[in-house]
Amino acid sequence: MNELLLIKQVQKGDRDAFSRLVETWHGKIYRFAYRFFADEADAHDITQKTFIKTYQNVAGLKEPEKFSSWIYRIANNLCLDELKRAGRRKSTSLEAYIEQADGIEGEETAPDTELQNKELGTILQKALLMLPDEQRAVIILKEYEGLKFREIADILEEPESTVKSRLYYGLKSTRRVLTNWNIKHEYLNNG
Amino acid sequence: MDKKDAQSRLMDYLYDEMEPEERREFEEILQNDSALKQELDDMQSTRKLLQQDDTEIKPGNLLLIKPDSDTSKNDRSRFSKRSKIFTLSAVAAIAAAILLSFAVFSFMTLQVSHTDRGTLISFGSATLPQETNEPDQTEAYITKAEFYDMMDEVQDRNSQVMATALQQTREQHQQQMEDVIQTLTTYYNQRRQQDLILVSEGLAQLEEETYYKFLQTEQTIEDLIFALNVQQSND
Repeated sequence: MNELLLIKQVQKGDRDAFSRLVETWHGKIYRFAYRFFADEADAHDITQKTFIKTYQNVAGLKEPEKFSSWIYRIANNLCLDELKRAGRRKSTSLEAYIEQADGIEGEETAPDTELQNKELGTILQKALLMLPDEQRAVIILKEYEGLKFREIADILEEPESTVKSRLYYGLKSTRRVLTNWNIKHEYLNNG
Repeated sequence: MDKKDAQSRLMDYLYDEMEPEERREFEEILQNDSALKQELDDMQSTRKLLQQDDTEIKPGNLLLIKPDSDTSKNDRSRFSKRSKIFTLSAVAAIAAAILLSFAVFSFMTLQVSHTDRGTLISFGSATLPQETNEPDQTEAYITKAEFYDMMDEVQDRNSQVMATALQQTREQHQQQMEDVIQTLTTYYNQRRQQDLILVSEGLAQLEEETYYKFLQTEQTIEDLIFALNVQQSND
């Protein structure tokens, strides 16, 4: 069924339509939250809260065609709220982490060539966690959710230029972190 | 093209969000600007690496629970839900009592029959006595009043069975409620412990940072004193 039609039905109080809407969006919101925190429990919590807020406020959504931006905005705001609530201890600052990485550079770690895909996934998630929150959100929305700059700007309620700037610095910072983790030779230079 | 503009166009190019004409123009710029080209290559390799993250992210089952803040709004519906649960429990208890009665009666094979001389009720197989003129044989029959008494007794037993079933249901509910409270208590205790650990870690880190800064200050002062002494001795 057309998503717009589905949303209009939800706005009229159709619970079955809401269930279908949840089925459609559950995976996307969970993925977004998981990449934001790299933690299953947090991702589950954020997903649950996002759908509760959606259910409570969808009737007041004036532009149902912008539902996608609206629900991602709810999820993103909830992620930021959670960080505030947890005293921002869920993410380490980029500078602090790079300092740590510098410290372990000389230690015996798994050689690049032995990095398995799973390990790489974990490393990339950790690298994302090192980024400032606003850069991380943009990278997730662009790189993993495949949204257009215009859509991300709509979600974050920022100008497109700001979104591009955050992405630019986010990618640079990610590269910097990964380089500090000695991942450069096998992966970064094979691009 | 200033720095901001270059960044913006680099992103557009990298994510293929440029018009063909604009894209051609930018490619010409790239050919003449090796630093910008290098930056683009770095960005592309970083992107490629990010895309290699094929972690399977599977969402679990979603259970939507309305937050506590909305309880006032939904008191009525919660009350009606509770009433529904109670009604369902009562119906289940009555059904259980009736089934139990049937089971008991079928086991005892209650026989009720009417004849023109009265009503015969017996447990187990009973054959109707043959009609006879002898007055002693009428002992097998009961009067209407006795029949009602017996029915009253059956009703009393049914009531007792129902009361027992209801009591059991209530006890089960109470047990479930206690379990839920126990689980919640455990959960909140764990959260509290985690929060305490976080606070302790924060304090420890703060203490460490303060100590480190103190050492740095001390070192700086020592350096200054040393420098002054050297200067004085040179003078």
